[in-house]
Amino acid sequence: MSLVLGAFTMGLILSLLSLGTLISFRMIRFTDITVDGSITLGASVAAVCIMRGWNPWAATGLAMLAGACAGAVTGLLHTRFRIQELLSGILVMTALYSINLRIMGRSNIPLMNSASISSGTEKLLNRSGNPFEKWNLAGWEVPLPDIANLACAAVVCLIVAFLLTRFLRTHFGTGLRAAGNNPQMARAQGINPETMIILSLALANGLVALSGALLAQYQGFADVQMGIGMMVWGLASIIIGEALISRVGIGLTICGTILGTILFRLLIAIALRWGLQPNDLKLVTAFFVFAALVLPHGLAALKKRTHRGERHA
Amino acid sequence: MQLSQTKIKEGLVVKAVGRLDASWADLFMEGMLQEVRAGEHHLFIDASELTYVSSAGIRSLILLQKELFTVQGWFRIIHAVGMVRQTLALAGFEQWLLEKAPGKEEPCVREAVTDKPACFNLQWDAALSARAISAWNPWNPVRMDQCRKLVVDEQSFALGIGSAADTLDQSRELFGEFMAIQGCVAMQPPDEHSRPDYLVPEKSFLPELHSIQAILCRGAMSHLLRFSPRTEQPVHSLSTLITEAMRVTEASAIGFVIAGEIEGLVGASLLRSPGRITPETSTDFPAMRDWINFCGERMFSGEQALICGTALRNEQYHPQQGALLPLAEPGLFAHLHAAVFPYQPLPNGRIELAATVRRFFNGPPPRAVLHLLNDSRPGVGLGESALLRGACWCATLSNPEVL
Amino acid sequence: MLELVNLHKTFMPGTANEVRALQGVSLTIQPGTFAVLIGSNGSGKSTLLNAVAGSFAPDAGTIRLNGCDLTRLPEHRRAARIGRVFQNPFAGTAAEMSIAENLALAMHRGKHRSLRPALTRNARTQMADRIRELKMDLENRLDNPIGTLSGGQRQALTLLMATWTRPDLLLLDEHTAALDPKSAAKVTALTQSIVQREKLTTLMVTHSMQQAVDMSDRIIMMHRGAIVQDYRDEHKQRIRIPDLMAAFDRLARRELFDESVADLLKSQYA
Ligand SMILES: Nc1ncnc2c1ncn2[C@@H]1O[C@H](COP(=O)(O)OP(=O)(O)O)[C@@H](O)[C@H]1O
Ligand SMILES: [Mg+2]
Repeated sequence: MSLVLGAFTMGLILSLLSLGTLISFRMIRFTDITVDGSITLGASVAAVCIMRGWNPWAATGLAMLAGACAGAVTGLLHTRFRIQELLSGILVMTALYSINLRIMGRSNIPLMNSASISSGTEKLLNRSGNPFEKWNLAGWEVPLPDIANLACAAVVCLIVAFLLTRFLRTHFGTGLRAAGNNPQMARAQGINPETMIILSLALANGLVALSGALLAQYQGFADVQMGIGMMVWGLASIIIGEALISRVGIGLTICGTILGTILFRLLIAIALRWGLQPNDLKLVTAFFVFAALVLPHGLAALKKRTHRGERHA
Repeated sequence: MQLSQTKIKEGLVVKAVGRLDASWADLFMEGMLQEVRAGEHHLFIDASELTYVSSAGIRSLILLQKELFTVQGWFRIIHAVGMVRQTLALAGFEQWLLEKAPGKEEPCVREAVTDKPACFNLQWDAALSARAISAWNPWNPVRMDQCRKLVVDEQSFALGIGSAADTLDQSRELFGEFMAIQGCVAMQPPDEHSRPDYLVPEKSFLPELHSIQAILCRGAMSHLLRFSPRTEQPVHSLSTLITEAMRVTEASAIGFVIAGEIEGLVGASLLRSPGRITPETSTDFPAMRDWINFCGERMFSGEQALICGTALRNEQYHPQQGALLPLAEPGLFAHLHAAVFPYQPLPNGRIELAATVRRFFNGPPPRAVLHLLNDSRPGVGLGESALLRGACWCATLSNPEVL
Repeated sequence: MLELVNLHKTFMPGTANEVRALQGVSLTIQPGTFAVLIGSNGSGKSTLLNAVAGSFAPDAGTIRLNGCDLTRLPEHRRAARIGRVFQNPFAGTAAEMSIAENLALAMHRGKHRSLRPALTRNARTQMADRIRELKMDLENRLDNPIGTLSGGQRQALTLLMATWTRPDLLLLDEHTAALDPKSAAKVTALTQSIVQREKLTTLMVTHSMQQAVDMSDRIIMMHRGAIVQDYRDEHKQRIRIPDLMAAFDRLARRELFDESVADLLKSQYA
């Protein structure tokens, strides 16, 4: 049960990353690799601040801001200096590696006994005063901190999802989506797609950094390597989400992405349980994304062929 | 609908196989007009294998009749039987239904092959007297004081650059190519948007032209040549026509009017009135392109041209000092202007110049008026204008020295 | 009133592929005029429209609209005053967004984009009313992605979007050329009715001589990056298709008029 609970919490936290990826990849259509650096940036900023005794919420907020800055820089590199999308992302990601090391001062910060955003919730829920209190959930004994973590992640995730949905449905949000969908049309409607790219990347990487901050607090450490491959995880989650909910529409897409991330984490948890080497995880994910990108075309071609066959018959 | 042709002494037998209905009437009509164009003005439509005639078919026959009427031609329907015969009779073609073609219906050679165009003597002692106006030497400014008013009466034809405006002052902006025959004038206004204009004399009115450059010929024509494509000479270039006209008139200087179906014309016409040229104006290439329009390809194939001009055979002639320009044939010089009209058939045989000119000018308006050139540029040259068939009226020029 | 003064634009200057797409175009279009731009392929019509719309800055020259200098303004800053329909029916709308969202974008063309919901009930009613006039049965499909519509429907919507808030200038770049004949006729009729009703100043590129003659108050012909003909007022009224064809013909002939022809004329036109 704690495995499922863990996967859920992890899924909720990483769904913020997926939402960020959703904005950059699907909304503004920018192949943004900054993600791999900005998730670490979020984690490291939050970790350092919490270590210094900051309020975890404030630390998380600052992490988010840092991520937004990183995203904006990528956007500026692309729009103002005409550097290719991928390259501007790589530049910022590479720079962030050193910056993260600088922020943390070393390659790893443990946060085992520090406060986190779930500390308050935990205190609130804890009626017995016993730090090792366990709750009985449908017959399972679950440690209270796990429940607090899950609740916090869920609340943050819900708030973000709600705000994001609202935002994308405003005049500004529609303009942003139009800029990604058809820049020429956006310009003709008086929208500057370049500004939109910068803002979207800031928003996306802000969310990614938020996810990183929560991840560090949940896992209990920030590590300079933790960002590697995160972009692909986000992408995989989006793809699963799109498979789950294929209807277009902002609300549904966002729900789908969150559900997709959770499902993805569950699948990983199960796979690990069955003996998948954690080291192979990234290879499996990459293969999965490859298959998801290629299979639809293959399927369509196959379908067409059978169709033609029928008509001939 | 299939058409097959057999030439007989009395005309051309066209055998029509199939149904003459709305679907086929246009094709039938096209085939028949093709024959009229080729000079076959007496047609026998063999209806033995015509299975059906509808009102659309009747209509095409009436149109064909109308077309033939203008050239004093006719058609008859032979071997019509059954329903076809009945339908045609009821439609009023009774008197044109023949049992069979006259004579033996024996095939004979399609075109009477003569070595030379057919020649008719009109008036053996007729001669033309010429008058030249030259107030403009391209591309200098016009000497307005030397402009003259030109009246082309029933006895004359003329070609040149001028304008039909009321006063000389108004004309200044309007000088363009013209050609005039027996009072009928076709002219190209010198601006890009205007279509060629034309004037036809009415009772006491004779068009008057302010000319800055012109050749006027007065008098009667002595000969008429009729030319058509022959195996050894499918098209008639202006040089060959002029040479032939000089041969029949036994003259080395002639004036002539040609009417005929165009194979291709090569020419130029003004885009801007020379009256606008001042000493400061540049008319060199590329500015020249704003002043004059060159055809660029052989134009107006299949339409009818009315061409008039004067020609001279004289090895000593200096084109720079006179009004004539070198033709393709060495020693031959001419000045030629053409008016292009939509195609209409010409009657065969001996035809009147006056009637022919009137036919052109009473029909649809001219499509272009141009100065004809001999494009002798090596390699890319378009050559000389040429006609397929038509008529050439000519007479000797009694005073070639004015040219 | 649109004023273009001596516009120049050279693509890829200094290379072998240098194209002098605009070579000194000057043009003034009075308010309420429906001007049509014709010319052979590559004569610079689209380039001229793009310059006016602001897709690129001209190398030289001035663009003024109603007295306001637009020359250095980026494209999206001109959108408030200029409505635009492209040749490609897919270029003017965002395919993955719904009809309503696309229209909402157009209702705020060039205006400040706030953080208020774009699709209010009020906006939707307005949209449904306007779309009903198209008689394309789209008023009940407001939430369908616009990418599911046909090219003709999308082009009609693009036109509606370009004119939703009255533009000072409407630019149409062969906007019916990529449509099937029936849709093209429909979009043409719609164009005419909107332009007439709103009395829009319009600059339209077309390949159809028929459209040029029927729809316009003024026909401008371009060739090799320059305006070579400008039929207006009573001259425009007498123009028919054959006149335009003849004008094209003259242009083609002018191309064949080279130095050798000039020499020929010196000896043959004396
Ligand atoms: N962005 C561009 N880059 C390079 N050349 C261009 C560009 N846009 C247009 N051209 C060239 O400019 C010329 C004019 O093009 P255009 O304005 O599209 O002509 P049209 O009159 O057919 O609309 C063409 O030769 C075209 O190849
Ligand atoms: Mg001449």
